[in-house]
Amino acid sequence: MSSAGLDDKKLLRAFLEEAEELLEKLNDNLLQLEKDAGNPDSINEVFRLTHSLKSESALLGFTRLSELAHRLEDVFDRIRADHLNLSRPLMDAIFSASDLIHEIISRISRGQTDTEIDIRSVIGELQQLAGLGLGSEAAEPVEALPAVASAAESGELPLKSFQRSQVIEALDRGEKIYRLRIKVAEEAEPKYPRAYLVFNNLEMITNVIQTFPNMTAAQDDRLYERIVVLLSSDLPEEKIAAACAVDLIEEPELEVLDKGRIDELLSLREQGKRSALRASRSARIESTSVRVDTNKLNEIWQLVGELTIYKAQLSQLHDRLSRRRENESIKGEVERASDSLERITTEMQQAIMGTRMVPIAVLFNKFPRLVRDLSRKLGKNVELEIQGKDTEIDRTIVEVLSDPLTHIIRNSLDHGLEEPEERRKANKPEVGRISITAQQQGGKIVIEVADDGRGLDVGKIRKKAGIGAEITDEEAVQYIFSPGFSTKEDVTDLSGRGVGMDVVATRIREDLKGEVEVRSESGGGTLIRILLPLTLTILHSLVISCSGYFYAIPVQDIRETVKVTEQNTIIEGENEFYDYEGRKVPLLRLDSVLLGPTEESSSLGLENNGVVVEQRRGRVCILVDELVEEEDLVIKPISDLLNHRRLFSGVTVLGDGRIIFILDTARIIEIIESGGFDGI
Amino acid sequence: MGDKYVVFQIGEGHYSIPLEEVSQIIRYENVTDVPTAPHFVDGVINVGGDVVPVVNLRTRFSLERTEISRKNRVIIVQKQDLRYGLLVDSVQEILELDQDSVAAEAASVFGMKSEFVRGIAKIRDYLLVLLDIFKVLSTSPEIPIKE
Repeated sequence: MSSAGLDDKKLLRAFLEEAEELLEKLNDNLLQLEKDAGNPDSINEVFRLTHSLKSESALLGFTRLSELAHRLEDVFDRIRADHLNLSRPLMDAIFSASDLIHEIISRISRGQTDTEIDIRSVIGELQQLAGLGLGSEAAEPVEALPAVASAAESGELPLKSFQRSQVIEALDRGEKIYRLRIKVAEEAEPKYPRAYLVFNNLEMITNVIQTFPNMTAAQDDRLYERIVVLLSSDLPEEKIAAACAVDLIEEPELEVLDKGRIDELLSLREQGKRSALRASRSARIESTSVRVDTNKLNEIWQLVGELTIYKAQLSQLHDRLSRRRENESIKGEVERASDSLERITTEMQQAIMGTRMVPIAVLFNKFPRLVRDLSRKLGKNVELEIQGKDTEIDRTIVEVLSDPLTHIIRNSLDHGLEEPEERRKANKPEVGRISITAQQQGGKIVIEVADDGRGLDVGKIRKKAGIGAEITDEEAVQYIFSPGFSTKEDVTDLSGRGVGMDVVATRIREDLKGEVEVRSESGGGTLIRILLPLTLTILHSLVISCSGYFYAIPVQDIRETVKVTEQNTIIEGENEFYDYEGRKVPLLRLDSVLLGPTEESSSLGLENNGVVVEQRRGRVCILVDELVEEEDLVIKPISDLLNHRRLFSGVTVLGDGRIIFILDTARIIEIIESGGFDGI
Repeated sequence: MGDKYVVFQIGEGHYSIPLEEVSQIIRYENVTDVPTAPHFVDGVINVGGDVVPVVNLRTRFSLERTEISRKNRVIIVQKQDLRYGLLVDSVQEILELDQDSVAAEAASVFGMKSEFVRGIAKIRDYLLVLLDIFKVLSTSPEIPIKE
């Protein structure tokens, strides 16, 4: 059946997704176990996860993968049952096994098979460290035998999913389902080889669905005294019984299961597994169960964009219509249609946007493992803190962001954090800290990676970039992002100067249209901040007009709309401020910034509309002619030709054809904070 | 089989760009004025919901601006996510050109700087300049395209 399964690409894809999900959870739980070795929840969870992986991969005929998962399951079974100590070497072996599983899964996803992978050495190590396996002696006697054996006696062992399908397929082929019970004579020592002979004979002539105890991995020998086999075959009973004709095998007992028994068998589910699965599903934030081609999503997205435009068009028609006195009945109908369309469009926008967005956890979840492995290798003690895993981010961004972010974290560990010795001398806690946070702020995603290490060496950076004293330290450190910065010189000489950060910056700036900046304090650590746009986003915005042009400000950036008068304006030299509840907020005359200063703009009317905009770096009060309306805008990328000063984050067309420029408030505030618009 | 080119005229000169770079050719209509654009951008045009800047190639090539007539066309070209409109005096034809008939030495013709020229071809009674249009578009507004 494995080959039939392999032909089915859908099945394979589903398997790969499931496997990746399992693997990720496996990793999380292993990391948890490393911190808290005896944690029963994690142990049980790992057991369940390896168990599922074993079954799922066996179903698709990935025998090596299944075997490996199986051995891992055995180890955790022992840990669970016997309170086997999770020693550090054992933990390492477990991690290597999980790495190997990862490798096999990536091979499979590349269309290769798992047969070329050598799993023996990893398994050998695992078994040795866990005191398992054929060659090793059972460390402790198994106490819980009678209970398990009685479950086997009744023959009511639940079927795993692939076994269930084996039963169903056998019935389809017209085979009968048999349950065979055999007993190995008491004098047989050890018992496993005898039982195995029978199993082997059966395998050759029938389809063995399930055995108890498990035959492919030897367990405590005493378990093999009684064996229950579930099999399917179209052979007559005596042929099957003949397979049991092995010395020291007593009382073969063969029964054909009738329909009632089979139904019963099929309905008997692994309850533990199912409830665990349900729990894990609900605990997971990710919704990775359907894979959709991004191009298809983009197509739908485009259509929704158009729909939004027509929605706006219709509502404008309605407005125009309602200004006239005639056609009352049509007016009502248009209104209802317009309302419905509006509601549906909005819901659709949100739903489709939802399909594009994934929690950043899909990316962040890799980092605990990365930090663990690297800190071990480097002999550093590191505590990793992750915040904002739920922050949603566009799928395509996640893919591109992975490498740069990994690089930044590596840098922090490798070059940022000091050796324990050095930290002690500097009166710092021996354990270094790295924190990764994500949050949405305004129309941007802000991701920060901070460490409490030695910080960047500003002197070296200045020397290397040839920066004069006129540039502040704060600005000088940004040079690590300049193209070619880290490749100019010998790589070994680069510690503490942000190796490869120029490459990181290029990817973030060019591929993701984001920004990256660094703050560093000598001896106090380094913070890298990445700002990413929420691409393909519909932004709820305030449309404003200014000197005949229309602009939009994302509502999420707006703190308040205000009336600006001479009374609440403060003038200091050339600078104007709005007195915002006692705080001076720079006043920005949008028209003079965008169109150049004019005579008119120099005087302030009696009462002007102002929009107070807030960003991380500060606030600004933007003076506008008119507050037009609030709208959901489909943001389109804007050509550099229309945006050479980068004051806009995008552009859009309204239903009536008006062109709206979306103001990049973060950039505007940044410009104001760093001295104004002159020369920009 | 040669590649296909869209041939258009600006002033006295004949220029062309590969057909595969062109997404559509439209009339100069409903061009909206925009703030803060360089002098050679006439405004923007709404093409299927995208806001496309219209580059006046006459102005970009340092020629006198002329009144828009029935012959004027806007050639929409696309690169990655972004589309540009090129306002030209007229679109002549779509021509198939053999690579053999194209002189790769980008000599200066009509005063066009050689870095914007992919090649020159002799067509019937005129010389055709094969433009590197995306280079023209990505070049800073302050830098003239012609010498």
